[in-house]
Amino acid sequence: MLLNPAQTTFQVHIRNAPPSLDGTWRAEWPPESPKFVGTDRLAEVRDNLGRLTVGDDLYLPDAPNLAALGGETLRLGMLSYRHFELTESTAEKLELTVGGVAIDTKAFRVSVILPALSDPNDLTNLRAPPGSPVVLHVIPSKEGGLDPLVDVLELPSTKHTATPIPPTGAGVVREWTFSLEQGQLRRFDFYWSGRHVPVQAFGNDPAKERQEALRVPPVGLWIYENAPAFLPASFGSLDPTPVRRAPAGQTDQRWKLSGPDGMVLNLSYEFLDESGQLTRGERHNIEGTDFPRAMEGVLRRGASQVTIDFGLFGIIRLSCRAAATIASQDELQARVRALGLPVGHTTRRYIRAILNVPHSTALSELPGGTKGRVRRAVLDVRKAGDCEKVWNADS
Amino acid sequence: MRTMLGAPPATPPTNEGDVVSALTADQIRACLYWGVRESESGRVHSARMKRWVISKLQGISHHSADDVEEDFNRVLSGDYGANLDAIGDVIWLKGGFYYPAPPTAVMTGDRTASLVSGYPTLHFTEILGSIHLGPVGRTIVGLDRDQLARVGIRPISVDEYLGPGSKVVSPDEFLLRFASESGASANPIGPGWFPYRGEHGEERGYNFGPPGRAARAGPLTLALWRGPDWQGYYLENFSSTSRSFVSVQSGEWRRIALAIDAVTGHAREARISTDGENGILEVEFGLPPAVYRFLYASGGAWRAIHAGAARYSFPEHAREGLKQMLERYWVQVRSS
Repeated sequence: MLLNPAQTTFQVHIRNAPPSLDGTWRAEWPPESPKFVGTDRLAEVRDNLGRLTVGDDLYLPDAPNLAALGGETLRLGMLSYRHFELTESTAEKLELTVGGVAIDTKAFRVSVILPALSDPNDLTNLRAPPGSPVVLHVIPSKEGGLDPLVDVLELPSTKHTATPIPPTGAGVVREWTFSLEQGQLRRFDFYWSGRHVPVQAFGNDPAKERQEALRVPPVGLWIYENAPAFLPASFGSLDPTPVRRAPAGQTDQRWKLSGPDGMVLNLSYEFLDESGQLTRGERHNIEGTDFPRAMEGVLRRGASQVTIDFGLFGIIRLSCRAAATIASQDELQARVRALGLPVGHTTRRYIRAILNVPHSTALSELPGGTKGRVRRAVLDVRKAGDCEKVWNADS
Repeated sequence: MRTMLGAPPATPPTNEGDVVSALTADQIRACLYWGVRESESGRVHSARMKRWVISKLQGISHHSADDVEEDFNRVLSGDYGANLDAIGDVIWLKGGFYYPAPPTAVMTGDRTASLVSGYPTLHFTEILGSIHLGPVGRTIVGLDRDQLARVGIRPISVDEYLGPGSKVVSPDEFLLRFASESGASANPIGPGWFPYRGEHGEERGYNFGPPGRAARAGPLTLALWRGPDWQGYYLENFSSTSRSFVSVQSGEWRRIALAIDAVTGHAREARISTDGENGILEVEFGLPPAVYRFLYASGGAWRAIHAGAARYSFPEHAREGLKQMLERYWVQVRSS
């Protein structure tokens, strides 16, 4: 669950909570020293940048001199933060720009190894099937070259005695194993030399775990023509879906891709070139935001068939036909005057030019009666005798 | 280790290096699977994937985090062709993010399929067939198309997997189509350019240099050219009065070279044999990218250069599919 950072108050209801928790809890915001250190899911406020570990996620109030650290900028309420991972390289840059950076050579980290599909760094929300082993790795800092004797205390502590994990050598991983019963909650504190790593694990019914539906967003294309229609990307011998070309002069905003952010795809299409030869064109690595413009360009070029390749998600095939572009006889006559009168009879090429549709468009793709209406418009303009311009087929 | 890869019926590789690759591949998939289940957008940044893999495998595959990171880079997108990005298990998104490919079975036989998916092997433990793990690819054995569909794995054909333009055609038809469907380019030939001689030799088993070999495809006479330092390839049509050139995209030139060899009666040869539980493929030339993709997705792996030939191992159940794959690129397959 993500909290809305714009809110100032949150209500938390805890079933069977001890009375000592009841009440209104306050926190200062922004904190006096608004620096956060942790993972990319959980971070705590720090007064300074001492005791950092390579691999930590840092969240610092953004400033121009922090741009060299890379990462990303985030908004947290009114504050803008720079979020980046501490590596040997970023630690050096951070020391030069901010100062006071110290890598904690006595630090150790704990990772979840089993269950195999659990997040290795999410130590406070560990869920495991009852009875199966939970395996944690305790990994001493590489920088320290130490061989610490890490203690583990199960909480709440009844015996007040910790279990030591025997050292295995400087920098060598050591293992801690336990198991859980159905519905059981177990908490541990791994500590050494004033460093504490808390772990919290729940026994979860694996059957329930399996029932969790995967949230895979549909991958495909929304087309907004008469009514919104969704075409899923798929495989198999698919009949192409007919779509219209946008009316001449109008921006084509009918397309919207559905899929993960940042998805790229390829377009291949067929069109008749100037010499009347069927030619294939391709466009590669198109992003979602660029897709409407790319489709518009492809259709304006006269594509009769378009294949959208989503890689392993599948493909979508479209067949394209011209839109009804002419609203009235007056408009047709205006276009004849603008383009010029044809020499001799009204050819198919002239009709396509008047309608501003690609030269690959068959007349059968146009609304019924179009040819007759264009011819009538030409006759009307000739009769009026107010147009001296002659259509140049090559222009 | 078996628990991390998936309980039986998953069969892990036997070679130690392949086991490490398989573990790394499956933890990359586990991280993407986590992303689809837990994160808001479903996609996962490569930095998070790297940290996941290091946290999971340090102390298991290697003592050093740096060595685990090296495996991560290699298995995600490093080794030529033999990586999750190339075989299609992971889908690259802009900004350094990745997304898992949906569970897909590329049918290579009646009851054999390459499993192409960004989901970890543990996700498939309840299927009725068995899963064989290669270093990066996986194969499902024992389920037909309908059974695969019933357990939520989408069956597709090899043509669909390899994408548009992969259909089986004769070599002259392929050359003709390639020359006529692509846009003409200006004459690129200058100093340092060489035509394809159509012989074994040089690097990668393809010998460029005068005199070149021309192939007749329908009314066209075609020759393949290579630029200086292997930068750029062009197909020349010199059958008309003026020379015309077609640019060849990276990787596609090998397919053209194999087609020219086949049309001119010099089809290349591949040898397939058996070594214990594995099949062995030996070739003295570089394969087209699509063949590598198929080979690695089926659980194959590069082994060594042996007596001038590149040697690959592959699971026995992928033999027929691999043979057909080579034949669609006009390679003659000799089995022993």
